[in-house]
Formats: sequence, C-alpha cells, structure tokens
Amino acid sequence: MRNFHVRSLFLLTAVVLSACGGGTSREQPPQGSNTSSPGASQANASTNKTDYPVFPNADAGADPSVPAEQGGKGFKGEGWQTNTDYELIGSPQAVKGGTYREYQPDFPTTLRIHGPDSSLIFNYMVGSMVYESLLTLHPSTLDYLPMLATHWQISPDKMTFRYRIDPNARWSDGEPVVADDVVATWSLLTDKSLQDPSEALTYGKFDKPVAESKYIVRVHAKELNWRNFLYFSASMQILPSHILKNVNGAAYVKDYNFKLLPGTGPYEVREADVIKGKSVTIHRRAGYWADKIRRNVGTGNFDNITEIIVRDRSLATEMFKKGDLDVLAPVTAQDWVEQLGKLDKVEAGLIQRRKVHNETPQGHMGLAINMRKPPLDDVKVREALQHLLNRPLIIEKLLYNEYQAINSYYSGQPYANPNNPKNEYDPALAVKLLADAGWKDRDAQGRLTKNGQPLSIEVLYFYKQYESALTTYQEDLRKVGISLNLRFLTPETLYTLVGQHKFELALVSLGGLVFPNPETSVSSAFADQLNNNNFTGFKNKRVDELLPIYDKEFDQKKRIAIIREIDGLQANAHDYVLFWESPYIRIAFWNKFGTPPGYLSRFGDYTDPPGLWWIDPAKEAALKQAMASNGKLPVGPVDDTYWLDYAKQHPSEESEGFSGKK
Amino acid sequence: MTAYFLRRFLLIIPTFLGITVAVFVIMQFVPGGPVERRLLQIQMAASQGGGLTATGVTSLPQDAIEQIRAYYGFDKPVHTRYLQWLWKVLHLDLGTSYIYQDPVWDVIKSRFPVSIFLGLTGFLLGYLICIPLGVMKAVRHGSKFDIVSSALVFMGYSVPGWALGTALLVLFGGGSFWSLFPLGGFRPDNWAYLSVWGKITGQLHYMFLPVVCYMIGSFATLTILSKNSLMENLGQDYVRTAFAKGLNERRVIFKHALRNSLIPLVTGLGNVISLILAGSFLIERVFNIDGMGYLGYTAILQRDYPVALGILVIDSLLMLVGNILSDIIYATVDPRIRFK
Repeated sequence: MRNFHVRSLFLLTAVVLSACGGGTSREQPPQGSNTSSPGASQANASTNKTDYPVFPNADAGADPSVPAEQGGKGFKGEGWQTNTDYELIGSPQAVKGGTYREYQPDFPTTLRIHGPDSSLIFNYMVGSMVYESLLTLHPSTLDYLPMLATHWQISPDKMTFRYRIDPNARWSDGEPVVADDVVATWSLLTDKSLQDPSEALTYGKFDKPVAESKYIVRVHAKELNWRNFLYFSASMQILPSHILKNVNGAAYVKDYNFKLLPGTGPYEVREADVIKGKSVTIHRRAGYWADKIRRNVGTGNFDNITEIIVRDRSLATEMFKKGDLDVLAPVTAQDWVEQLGKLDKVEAGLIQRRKVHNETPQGHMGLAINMRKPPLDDVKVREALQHLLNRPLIIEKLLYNEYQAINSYYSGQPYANPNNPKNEYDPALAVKLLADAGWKDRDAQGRLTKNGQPLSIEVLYFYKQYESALTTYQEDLRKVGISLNLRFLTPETLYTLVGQHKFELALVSLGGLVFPNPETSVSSAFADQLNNNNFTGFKNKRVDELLPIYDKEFDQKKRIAIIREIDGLQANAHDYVLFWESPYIRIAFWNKFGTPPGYLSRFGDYTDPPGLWWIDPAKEAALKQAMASNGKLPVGPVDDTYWLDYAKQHPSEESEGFSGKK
Repeated sequence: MTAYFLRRFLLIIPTFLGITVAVFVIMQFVPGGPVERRLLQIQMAASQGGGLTATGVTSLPQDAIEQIRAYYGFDKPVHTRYLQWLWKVLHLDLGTSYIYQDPVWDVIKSRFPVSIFLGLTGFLLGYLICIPLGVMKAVRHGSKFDIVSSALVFMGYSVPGWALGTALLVLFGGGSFWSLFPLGGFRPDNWAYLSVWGKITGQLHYMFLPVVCYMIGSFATLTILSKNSLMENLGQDYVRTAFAKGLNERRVIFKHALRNSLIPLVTGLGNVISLILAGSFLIERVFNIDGMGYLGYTAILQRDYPVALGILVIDSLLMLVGNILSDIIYATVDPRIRFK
C-alpha cells in the first residue's frame, strides 16, 4: 500500500543521532561483486523532457475486447485528468549497471509491506522499488503523475475518484494489470486477518472500489477529506489480484515474509537474494513495463542494491572507510567530525562528504511534558523548563555545531509559525516564571518548594547519546533549585509509560510529514485516551475548531495558515521542551557516483540514492587510478544548497501539486 | 547410586516447571510487551514520515487494540497462556516467533552453527591451553614465567571482550590501519563455492578475532584452577611417597599428581552439552555475527516471548541434564565419590 517513509524505532534512533568481502584482501576500490559494469557514458543524452514520452506505445497492450469508452484501445481521455508536462525526475545522463551497497542497522523480520512488523524503512524501500501505486507525486513539484493509471477523475463533490489503468502495465510474472487488482488490494488492506489496523483504518474510509471495466476502477470516500485522493492514489501500492484471490490477510502474513508477491515496479527480490541476518539484494529486473516512461528516465539505475546488515555503527563506519560499503548515511555528527573530518581518503577526494540542504520534514525532538500532572499543568513552569535548556552551549560543545535549535513543531517547513517564542536560554526569566507559579521558597537542600513540596521531576529517555545533554540540563535545573532525575529505559518501555501517561518528562522524537496530520498529536479528543501521539495531554478549543476545517480544506495555502496557527498555539502552550534539529542530511560516499542536481530529491532523504544515483564510469576509473597511485581527486563543496535555491524560485506552498489543484 | 540419579532426573520436572513459571510470570510484569510494541510501531508509523505520501493514521480505536491483543494471545489470563504454552512445549512445539513469523525451533536452530563454533572452539582452546599452562605455572610456581603469565591471564580477564573486539577491528580490519582480517561476519560470502580447505581457512580467518575476544576472559579461571589443583596435589603425602620411592619428577607430576588434579576440571564436562547455545551478545554485535547471544538479547528487547522462552526451555533443560552428567562423570573418575 503506502509509500510509507516510516522509520522503525531502531532506525529512528539512527536518524536522530545523526561486508564481509575480501577477508585478507588489501584495500580495494569499492565495487560490489556479482554486478555488470556500468554501461557506456550518457553524457550526450538530451535533457529536454519532451524527448522522453509519458505514454510510449499509448495503449498498444490493451485488450482489444475492451471498448475505448471503458478504457480500452482508442481511449482518448476526454473528461479525464492526466499529466504529460512534468519535468524529468532522474538525470538522463545516468548510466545503468553496477551494485550499490549500503548498510541497515538490523535485519528486517519480514519483507512484507503490510501486516505486523512491516512498518520499517526497509519494507518501505523494498515496497517502493517492487510495487507501484495508481499515481505518484513528482518529487520536486508534488504534481500528480500517472503511474499504473494513465488518467483520473475527481467528482465535483471530491468524494468519488475514477482511474483508468494503463493497458501496458504488467506484473513481473507477465500478467496484465487490471482494475480488479485495485479492488483486491483494498480488500487485503481492510482484511482484519492482515493484523494491520492502521491500514484498515486508512482504507476503511473508502467504500469497496468497483471495477467498472478491465481498465477503469472507481472508489468512493465515506467522508470528505483532502487526503483521500492522495492516500488512495499515491499511497496504496497495488498488488496482483490473480495471486490475492487465493491469499487472505492471514495467509499473506504467514507465507509472504521473504517471498514477495509479483510487483509492477522496476526491481524484484528473489528468495535466494535474502541471506537471513546478513543481507538482502534487490535486483533490477528485465522487462519492466515502464522502462521508457519519462518518470523513470535516470532512475533505478543500479542492477543490484545490496543492503548489508551491520548492527554496530562503528563497524559500519569502518566498513565504509575500507570500501566494503559505498555510502554511509545517515552519518552521525560525531562520525562526521571525528571519523570522516580528517580522514585521508576524504582529504584526497576518494570519499566525498555532502551536507544536503533540502526540504525534508525534520519533525521535532524534545522533552514531552505530561501536562496532566502538577506542577507541569502550569504553563509558567513549562516555559521555565524551556528557558533552562542551554541549547547553544549543548549544540556547540556536545553536538559539534551540527544542529540548530528549533522553536516550532514543523521546523524548516512552510507550516512553521514565524512568530513562535524563540525560547532563549534565560535562567533569570525561568526563576521569575517559577516564582510567579508559586515556586519561590527553598528547602534545606536548596530546592524550590511550594506548599512544602520540593520541585522534583523525572525524565525518561532511551537515547543514550543524549545523556550528556540531559546531564547538562540537569545541572542547570539544579542551579535554580529543580531536581531532575534521569531514568534510562528501552524505547518500548518508554513509549508504553508515555502512552499510559505514567511520566513527567520524556525525551521523544516525532518525525515530520510533507502533508502533516496533526490530529493525533494535538486533538483534545486524544488528550486523555491512552496509546496515541498526544503524549502531553494537549487540549485547546481553538485547535479543536481548526482540525476539522483543516481536513476539509483543499487549498494548500489555507492549510498552511491553519497549521501555522496550530503551531503557534502549541508553541505557546510549551507542551514540549524543544531541542534541536539537523538542518541538512549528512551523507558520505565513495567518489564514483553520478548524481542528479541536489544529490537527493527536494523532500527526500538518505533513501534516495539507490533510486537516483548511478555509477559514473569515468569517476569510477579515476577512483581506481587514484587509489592505485595514492593520487588525489577533486574534493567537492561539502554544503549543497541546490534545493534551497530551487525553493526560493518555486516555493512549495505555491506548487500546483502541493495545492492539490491538479 | 542408580536411585540417586533417577531421583535427580525426576527432579528436573519440578525444577523446569519452576524456572518456566518464574520467567513467564516475570515477563508479564515487564512494561512494554508485544502488544505495546506493536502499538508503538503503529504510533511511530503515524508520527514518522518524510515520505511524500505517508498516511499518518489516526489513533487506534479500542476494538483494533483488542484485536492486536488477541493476535498475541493476550486476551486470555496469564495462567491460561502459560498452560497453553506448556502444553505445546510438551508436544515439542515451541511456538511461532512474534518477530520472525517462523517456528521458534527453526529460528533457534539457524543460530546453531555460530554457537557450536564458538562453544566448541572455546571449550577446546580452554582445555588445551589452560591445563598445560596451569601445569607449567604450578611446576614453576613463583618464577618469572608464572608471574608474567598470571599478569597476562588476569589482564585478559579484566578486558571486556567487546571492547577488545572494537579495538582489534579498528586495528586489523582494514578500515583505519592494517587489513589482516575481515570486518566482521561469520564466514566468507562465497562459502558455498569454497573447497573444504577453503572453508577451513575461511572460517578460521573470519572467526579468529571473535574467538580471541570470546575467550579472552575465560583463560584466567581455568588456568588458575588447574594450577592450584595441581599444587594442592603436589603437597599431598602420596606425592611425597612417590618421590621417596625414587620416581623422577616428570613421572610423579604427570602420572600421579596431574591425574588427580584434573578431577575438579573434569566435572565441568557435563555442561559441554550446553555449548550449542553458546554466544555473547556484545561480541556478536561488534563482529556482526548472527548468533545465539544476539538472538536471545533481541528476543527479550523486542518482546519476542516465544523465542525468549524457547531459548530458556532448551537452555534450562541442557543445564539440568548437564549438571547430572557432571555428577556422573565426577563419580566415575573419582572412586571416592559416591552419591546416595
């Protein structure tokens, strides 16, 4: 289903923080085994988008028995929407071939894209390479693009959507893609035996789709919501009905852990390519039906993408330095500075480092404050706690100056309210706020008291690497008379206690979405319910008024205004002690890759390179030569601001696709 | 003595039940079971993203949560769950892993090659190095050799194996300094295509550093035990008698004293059967090896109760049987020992 960029908890840790070949061999140029050499240079390839068709062969693969008005041969698309004017996504200069090797911190327990344990980054990666949705979003403009569907219709009331399946679309087993595939996918996702209640909830908001013909499918949403079209069109990866007719949810969960259903995408994973506990290799398959379509030009370039399991981050860094891995991402600030900062291979240009400044939503990290519990129910106390966090000092001394303080829950996105309080480190102001809240007396140990009770707070955390920052905070709190107890837990235990509201402060990190869904985090309806993302017990009447308006607002500019207002209300409630974010993505790679402008996509992250990069034969040869002769290669600029410059000319909030007008 | 051992074997049953009940119940009180873990996954999936089309699902209704509870069997009271689990175990069914969706036995079995290699190598190296070393130290008690070797084995005892592993990988893995060993892994990637000799050398090449780290702390105990045991025997009357009879030193030590001093060491042999579960989480993690230590640790961390309990069942049974075997060996090698 979804093109989920969902992090596993494990991976989340890595994000926030930041081969076993050869054996006796001497240091080798980093090149994977079992790979064909990249093909001839494409340096002279045209960069004119019109040279690359959107619908090559039109409806050549259509079933002749299906009439044009039912989406068959001769279908003209009158009265339907489509998009044939979009820009190229990949680089036409890209060369096919070679192997891309990167690491994953843990072996996936399943490669399923639905059901228990499927919401990991690994599953997302595999899913997005093997399967396709009806439509997709252009990664730069966010315009809808044809994928398995060539055309679409949205009813005037925005409740019913129709799609015309591309008659040329084929499954990897050669079967044609048909409207029934959409129906079967929906049925699987809403099947209780799939044990995936979040999918069931998302797609349960639609009636069962109807296959009007072999190529036309219709679906009706039960409630008006601007996300409906996005989710059904671009999030739901379509699965084959000719297999699913014999596979229900329970069977899918049981039998398809490392055996994938046929896909329509450019890659496949065979059971033999899964070496349990060690690696998973994703192969580019021959006969991909959409190879020549414009959206695929310059994408999916590697023959093999090998995900090597390396559980220890230090080991992964060593493997990368040795050349057993091609790319290291994400790179922690510590490794960036201490491991790679002065590495001879970096200085010689053999390894390149980039800080990619793009518009990837960063989410927010900080101490969730349980506002249900006194004295944390007092906004003055919460604001004081924020002013006592010395973020400039921590960022400079402990975080290698690789982070910046945040004052919004949507930092770096157009949704961030520019008028949010700046939350400077100000102990004097904090003391005043605490005194205003009644915390001005002191006990024999110098702790602030109110009604004879000392001000003592416990913070739960599982990010071991933030212990030093928390200790600094603890010391600053102690200086003003607040006792802060640090309690280290496993992530599962922490989130269980937080979900049950059995905490005072908890260090959590919440990722961001390009299209935010703030309801679960800020709706009063969830404040007193257990196990949801309203960790802090946030309640606000105005926010409750805004949320349903937001859901039904189809104008992106107005949605931005709504979220900004919510952001401001939440920031002034100080329900989190906000921490910091990395304003860019750190990535290090051996100098043999060709990359599109900006290295990653506009809203993308370190999962982008396998889909967008390629092995540049000239660079690869130069690297080999430099390694053999202890030579040097050009060192590129570390900071890449292509996407920031792009955003100035094409503000995302003004994008047609972003506004949902297309 | 047969009645004694029969009784010991019968005592395995209540001991085993006691162990499993205790662990099963403790697991129920640990915050964050499989249901919470699954809810957390869904919660994280809703809050994480970055993807253009992430759905960010809303909070789960109660019936969906109940459905998850039922999926993991948590809709039943704890004693029912225990009895159901025990019934399956008695039928040699350890259940299905919550995480891997495979039978627990298959999951555990897949780690046996690593465990057996580590366990067997550790056992053989331990006995082959520590006993001769202990003998030499006893014979040369107080000499420079004795002092230096004691210093070395105690230094090894003091160094955490995983820390040594990290240092060795940085030094000899090829990423930073010398490229003498592979950077982690259990065996070469092309294992299936190697000749027998290639497999032997490949395996040794990959496992040399992990075995060093696995063993580094265990030399001290066995070495000092064998040294002290031999020294104790060398002070016995029968040794003095042997010398008085005119036997040479070599014959007295190796023919008489050593045989008796090995008795305490031999008693540990019963637990050799447990080596199929040998492993060390930290060393396996540092060397990127998929072994039993890592499996057990992650099973507990990820609340994969069937796997954690499966390892417990096998481990406790092996331990109980191993202890009895040790007693049998003890009684066999030392005629003075008789159990009643």
